[in-house]
Amino acid sequence: MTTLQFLGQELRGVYDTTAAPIVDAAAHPVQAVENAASNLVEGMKDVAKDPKGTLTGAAEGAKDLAVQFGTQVASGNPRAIGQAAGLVIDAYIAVRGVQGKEIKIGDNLRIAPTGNRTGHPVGRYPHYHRRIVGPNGKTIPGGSMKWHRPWEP
Amino acid sequence: MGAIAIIFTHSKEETVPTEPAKSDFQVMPPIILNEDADVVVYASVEALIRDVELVDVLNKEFEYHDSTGRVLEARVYKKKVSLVPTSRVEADSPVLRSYMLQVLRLAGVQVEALSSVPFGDLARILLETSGKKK
Repeated sequence: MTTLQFLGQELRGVYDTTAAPIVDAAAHPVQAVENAASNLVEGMKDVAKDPKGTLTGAAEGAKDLAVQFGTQVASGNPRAIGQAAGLVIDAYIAVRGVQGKEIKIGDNLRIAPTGNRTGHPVGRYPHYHRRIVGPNGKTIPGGSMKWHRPWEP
Repeated sequence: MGAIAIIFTHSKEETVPTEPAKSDFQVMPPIILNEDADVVVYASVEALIRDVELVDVLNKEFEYHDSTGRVLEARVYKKKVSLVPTSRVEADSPVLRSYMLQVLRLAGVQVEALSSVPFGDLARILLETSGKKK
């Protein structure tokens, strides 16, 4: 079991892969963790202020560690892979969600766990955006990222 | 196994402000938004802008045309989106027409008789079918 530190808090056990898997870590373990780590760092850059830039290097280092960790666990227990990805994503969601921002998970999925738009009938509530492509790689009718898809727990 | 430290940091605003350019052309509603084969028609530019997210506009996820087939260019200035008509007209685009017909077909419309319908009429039929009158 790996310990994940988030702002000094230990997040061990926060994520339960049997309850709410967010990414298909079993299908794409290395990619899932790497994407989550990369998105996490990019997302964090939007959230916190670091006027002197002193944290930038550390954040990039954290990303590298996360990617390295993901690669290591990818060769082992699938459950550990899911937990690693989940922990990273949970930390990201915790920040972005509270701020009403969307969370990008790859190019074809964004989620807004607390909603993000005032005035839009669906966007003001928890929703997600997902691109659905056909066999030709093109977006199919109804598959655009434009759509605010309601969150259905 | 080692621990992972997740630390906040900050980056510059990625959006480069671009003032909406003036155009010699007029926008003729309804307005067509498409992302490949997913085509949606709006009664006005304002209705379209209300419905899209800034990040998608910045990522250039969509194409925009008016009812004459004129290509509209999305501009973002101070986080506000505007559509500027360009000199390019694609009313004869077989790809866009086929996308529009496909959406109509999925909505239950008999599209066989619509193959030669003018582009603007096709857009209006799509608008009525989708119930996007705003």
